[in-house]
Amino acid sequence: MKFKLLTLLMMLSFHSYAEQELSIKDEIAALKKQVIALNRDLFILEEDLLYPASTQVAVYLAMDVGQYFQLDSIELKIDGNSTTHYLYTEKQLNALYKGGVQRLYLGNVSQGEHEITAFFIGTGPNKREYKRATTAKFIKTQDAKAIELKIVDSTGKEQAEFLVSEL
Amino acid sequence: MIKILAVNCFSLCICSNIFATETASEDLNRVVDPRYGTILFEYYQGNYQAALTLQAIAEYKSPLAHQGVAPELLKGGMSLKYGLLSQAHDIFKTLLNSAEDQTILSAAWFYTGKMHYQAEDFKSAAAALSQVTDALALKFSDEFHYMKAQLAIKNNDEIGYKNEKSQISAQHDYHEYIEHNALLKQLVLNDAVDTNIEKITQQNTNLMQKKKLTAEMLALQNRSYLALGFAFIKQGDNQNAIKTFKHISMKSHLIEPALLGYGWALNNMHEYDKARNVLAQLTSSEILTPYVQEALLVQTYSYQQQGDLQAAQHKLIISINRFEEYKAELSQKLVTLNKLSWRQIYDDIREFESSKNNALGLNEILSGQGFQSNLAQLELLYALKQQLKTQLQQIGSFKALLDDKAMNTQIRLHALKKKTLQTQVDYLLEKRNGLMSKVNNAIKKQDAEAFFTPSQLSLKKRLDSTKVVLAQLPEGKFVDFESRVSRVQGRLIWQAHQDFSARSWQAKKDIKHLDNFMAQLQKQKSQLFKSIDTAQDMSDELSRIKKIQLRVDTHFNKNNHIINRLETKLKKAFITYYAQRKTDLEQAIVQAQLLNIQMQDQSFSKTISPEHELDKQSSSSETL
Repeated sequence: MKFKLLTLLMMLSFHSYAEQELSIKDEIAALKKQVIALNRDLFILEEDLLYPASTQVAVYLAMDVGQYFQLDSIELKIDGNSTTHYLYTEKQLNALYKGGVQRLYLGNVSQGEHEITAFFIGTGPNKREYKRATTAKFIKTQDAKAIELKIVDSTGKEQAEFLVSEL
Repeated sequence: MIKILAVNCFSLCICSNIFATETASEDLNRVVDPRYGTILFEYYQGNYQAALTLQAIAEYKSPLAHQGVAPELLKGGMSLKYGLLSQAHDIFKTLLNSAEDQTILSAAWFYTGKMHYQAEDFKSAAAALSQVTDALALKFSDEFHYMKAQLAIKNNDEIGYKNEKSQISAQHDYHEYIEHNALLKQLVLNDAVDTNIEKITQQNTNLMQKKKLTAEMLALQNRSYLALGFAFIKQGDNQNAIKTFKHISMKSHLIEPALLGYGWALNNMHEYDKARNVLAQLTSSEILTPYVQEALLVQTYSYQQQGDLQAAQHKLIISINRFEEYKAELSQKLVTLNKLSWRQIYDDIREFESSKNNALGLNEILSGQGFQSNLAQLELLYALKQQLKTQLQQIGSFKALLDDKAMNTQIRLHALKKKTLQTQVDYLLEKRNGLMSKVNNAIKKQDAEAFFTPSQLSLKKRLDSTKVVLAQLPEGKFVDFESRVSRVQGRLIWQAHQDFSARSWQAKKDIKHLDNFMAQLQKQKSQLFKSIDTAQDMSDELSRIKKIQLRVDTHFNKNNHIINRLETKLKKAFITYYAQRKTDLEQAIVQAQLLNIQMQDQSFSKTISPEHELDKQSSSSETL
């Protein structure tokens, strides 16, 4: 009876067709690789079709530490028109703190001078609501334009600084 | 059984820690190229597919401007986490052959070790991990020592295990996992259980009460208690077995074997009534799982041990009836399963997961790890299928966009040709030709009047009209006027003749200017037409789209093919499982019937009086 009991308990684990499983595993891995390659090609095609270099502008967001400012959301305006309003999750914020850079916006503008304004909304020192805006002008040329927004802790001022620079 | 539990827990630990690692060292994470930053952004969120796609895009455009081979190392790590083992293997192999930096080399050895570890090739994993030096980035440290501790447990190297464990950060969850695995290992080694049984219980209790339990840790705890409980039974320590089984949560899917173990332990302690009461919780279940089946037989055994053969027989008959009923149910289930499509079975599985109950009674098979792993693969394939579908939709929208663009260009081209360019250029050309012939004629005929200025023309008009008026007046009355008009007219013509050569030269010069302007206009026109023609040519993009679509279609079909194989396999597994279950049940029925006959014999022997027994003996001797 005891032997039978142990045999029955072995049913906790269900193993079958190990070899076939291995082959399916390999096939799935190959498929995953292909899906990535297809995603890449589609992304490049999309960029070529919708955002050609002559009109392309990309805005990135990076963070350095984040001790004096806890970001909640960002609103981005180009030439006074709202282009992006982004609300951050904790996971995304952690990724930014660790050194990740977010591509906040990819769009088109005509060649010439433009103005970019970013509103940073979040919690500042002493857990008070904090909203800061930063503005910069840039000139769009024939080449793709990349702009970086950066939130940097200024230990001297004991507050966060919001910077805009062209990459 | 303990071994199986240990393997299960071990796999659980491996899976749960896949996401726990960070890749590059601190200094490598300082972002130089924003594209590398975007890859990290996805990577840190655990979106490995998105991160790998971004890296593939970046590699396609231009190499990432970041510290040396750090992006390659990251790619290898992500490939490993996303299940692209061969890609990861190739990357690490290249890195180990080419990198000189000790930090990179150590990281590459660490990942190679991890790759073998995940593939359960522990010997290769140990060999790779032994190559890791002190240069290994701090972020890898905990996982590195965790893997080494696990390998030490496997090799029964207690000193090694303790040494590696001591190097893991104090607050890390890895401690719980490896302590748990060490405990299970001790359980597998019977001698250790004999000597450390109290210690292990205490260790397990302390270990699990350390912090607020997550669902995963709770599952681990329940498995641990179950293994421990059966180890106690095996050791004959039923009291401790009972205590241990009591720790298992009633909501756990392991409650059935726990109750069975509990009942067994009570039975072993001759607490038959209590044992039957505990087992009744199990036997009251509507579904006859192997544990319920076993519990019914244990209840019979319990009555038999108590000497109550009548009750035992009664219980056995009830059990046989239940077995027969369930056998019929299983036959019906097999027929149903054969008829059902995989989709219907899958819906039933989903229903099971949400309500922990279902029409097909799939509880037993679904708790199997092999089945769960196949099911996870199938769900991954469904997700990939959905992605491929999205890609096809995207291709469709790109095609529509290009068609739209081509049509718009065509319309614009026509408009430009007709309204803006062609008509204007032709008109100007016509005008120029008219002017040219006029000038040529005037020069040829020496017609000075052809070069009159606008004021001269106006004066000539006035003179002509004055002459008409004078012609209508009585003759001779306005002789003075007539002679003045003739004088002015003569002067006008004389002046025109005086200016003729200068004006004809000027006219020729103006026409030459006009020709230059016209030539420039023609050139601009042809350039504009050329650029419009180029803009209209979208064949390159269309060909790219066509190629991508072909690839998506191919992989979509491949995906469907694998899905079909896996679905067939899983459905077959269901059918095989139930067929096997039915066979087991048939055997159980035969055994129960035999037991019934034995008990009937026993009770019959007991009811025969000693006199009868003597008679029987004498009659048999007579026969002899």
